[in-house]
Amino acid sequence: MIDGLLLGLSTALTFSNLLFVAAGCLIGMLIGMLPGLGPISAIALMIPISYNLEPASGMILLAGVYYGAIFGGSTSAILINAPGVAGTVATAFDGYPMARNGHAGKALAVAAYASFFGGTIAVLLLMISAPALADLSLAFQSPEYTLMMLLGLSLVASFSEPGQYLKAVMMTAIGLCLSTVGTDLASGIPRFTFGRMDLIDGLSFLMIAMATFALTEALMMLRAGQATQTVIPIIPSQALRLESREIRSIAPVISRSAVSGFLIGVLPGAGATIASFIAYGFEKIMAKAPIPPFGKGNLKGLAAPESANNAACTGSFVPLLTLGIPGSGTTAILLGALLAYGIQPGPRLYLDEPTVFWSIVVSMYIGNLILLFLNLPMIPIFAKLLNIPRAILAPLIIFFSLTGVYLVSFNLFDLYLMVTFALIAVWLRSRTFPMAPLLLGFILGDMLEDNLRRSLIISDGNLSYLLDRPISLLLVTLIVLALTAPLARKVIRGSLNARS
Amino acid sequence: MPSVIRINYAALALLLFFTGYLYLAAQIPIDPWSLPGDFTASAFPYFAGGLGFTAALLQLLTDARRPTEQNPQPPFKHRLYKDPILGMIVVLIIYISLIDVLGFVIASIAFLTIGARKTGAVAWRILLPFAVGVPLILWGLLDLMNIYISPGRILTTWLHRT
Repeated sequence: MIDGLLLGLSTALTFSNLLFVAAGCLIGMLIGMLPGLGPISAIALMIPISYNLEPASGMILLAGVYYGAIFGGSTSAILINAPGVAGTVATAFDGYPMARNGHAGKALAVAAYASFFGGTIAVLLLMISAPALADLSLAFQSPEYTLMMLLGLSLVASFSEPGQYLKAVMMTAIGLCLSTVGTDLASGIPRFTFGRMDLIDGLSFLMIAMATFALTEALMMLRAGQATQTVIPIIPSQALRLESREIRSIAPVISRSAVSGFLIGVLPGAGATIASFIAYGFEKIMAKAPIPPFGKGNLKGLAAPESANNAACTGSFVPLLTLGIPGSGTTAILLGALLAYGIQPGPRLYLDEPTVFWSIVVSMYIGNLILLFLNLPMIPIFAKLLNIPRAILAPLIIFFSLTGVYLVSFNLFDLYLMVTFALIAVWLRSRTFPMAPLLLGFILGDMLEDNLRRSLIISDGNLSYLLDRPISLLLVTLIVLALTAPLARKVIRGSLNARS
Repeated sequence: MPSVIRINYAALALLLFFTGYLYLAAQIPIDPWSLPGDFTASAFPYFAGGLGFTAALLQLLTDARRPTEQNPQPPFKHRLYKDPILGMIVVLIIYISLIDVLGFVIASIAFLTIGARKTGAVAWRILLPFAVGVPLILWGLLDLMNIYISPGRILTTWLHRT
């Protein structure tokens, strides 16, 4: 591990890579700060630029964007009660009341410190757990990979909002369907191409990501109109300081929220949103007559979700880097970027591409440092970005989304397709259909088909082969549990309601 | 028993989509060397389409059985011609079709100007520097990276003539 760490440090600490981390954090923060634009949109917008870089540098840049976007999302949640991402919704519970009470600077500082320490603890946990998990996953073969991917997809559906389970399954299925467009690599037979050469190579994941996230967000911004424009409070730089009493009170909260956040983040499908809500709920239950109460500007209520969501982001890299399975929409898009570099994530990544693996890990820590020491003092300046009129912002995001796709393929057909997908995505989103499962299904589709085919070829078409191995059996049990969890939840809730 | 059967139009649309997808999956030619029971090019599409079809059908049936008050549907009174999204989509399609004709830079300047004016009232002194500046800066950066952007058919023809 020490060798790997040194290798990562030597790569991440080069001048150019430090610049990429800093740029990634800064751009991610600026994009993430804009209400509605989350890390997926931010990363999607940056992918065309990262294509021109070395794999390690590109991934360092994108990981920085991820961190920056989460941090930026907290900023808009605190200042204008508009969480940039779902993972920062819980941040607004106490962050926004603090800002309204004239403590915007303090709230931003607590969010920054909690994110930094939460992220740091999570990076340490990642360094310990990832190699161990990678060693274990070397025992994985096609059946285990097939089942692991099915587990990832079923967990994403089962962790969906209450009542949205079937919608998440439908979106996952659409993603899987879209992944089948193009030539079947095993037989060479074109599928769903309608005789068009533009579709022979399949749909581009960048186009799908841009259409369903960045472009859709910008189009939905138009519907929100100018009425949502908010005035940003002025934050003097001295307001960012914390008293030692306050630091002592939030330190244990940050530590335990980081550990729980990391563990939840490791689970495919759980992610930063669930981690932040669990951490917030836990602190609320633990607190005895807190002053001010939770929801009215309590420091612990702000520190817990911030630490947990940052730790969960780091945790979500564990299944991505060690198993090659993305657990969320954001890690799915990072997986797409890795595949575009010709790098196959999974247990072999740790052995075959140690530079990429360890430089991502180290860059996460450096990213946290940059967010704390460079970006925090500049928040009063960055916050002015929230004042940009939507009339300018929305066309600008649309322009960059289209340009990003156009500059990779130089194919106008991709742009027409992108606009069509975005229009459908807007309609589906307005009917509360989640988009992340679609992206996850699209990215996992190819790999799932490939591994399923391989498993069935090895077993001579016998599906029971998937159950012959102990790890496979465990994974099947987990899939069944994940698929039945929403039903069990409903039954338990029903019986509790009947009792009360 | 619910007195009114509710139709979830989104689920219905997706059910139709998955039906069409499964129909197309059935049209995928079979590899001449494949044996019965082999994992053919249509096997995975059947799985994906079947999964979606089942989920859409379940959603449709669940929503139809649910009483109206438990099944709030977004109002369908939305006037399509007034939706700013549709207006922007039209502008976008015109923009994309003009990239080849006017060239990337000029088409982008036109799109940003019209897009921003359509979205809201923005003063020209704020709008123009951003609408002209952003595509020009981007073009300059691409030029620095040796990425060629076609100047468009009109400009190319005019340059050839002169």
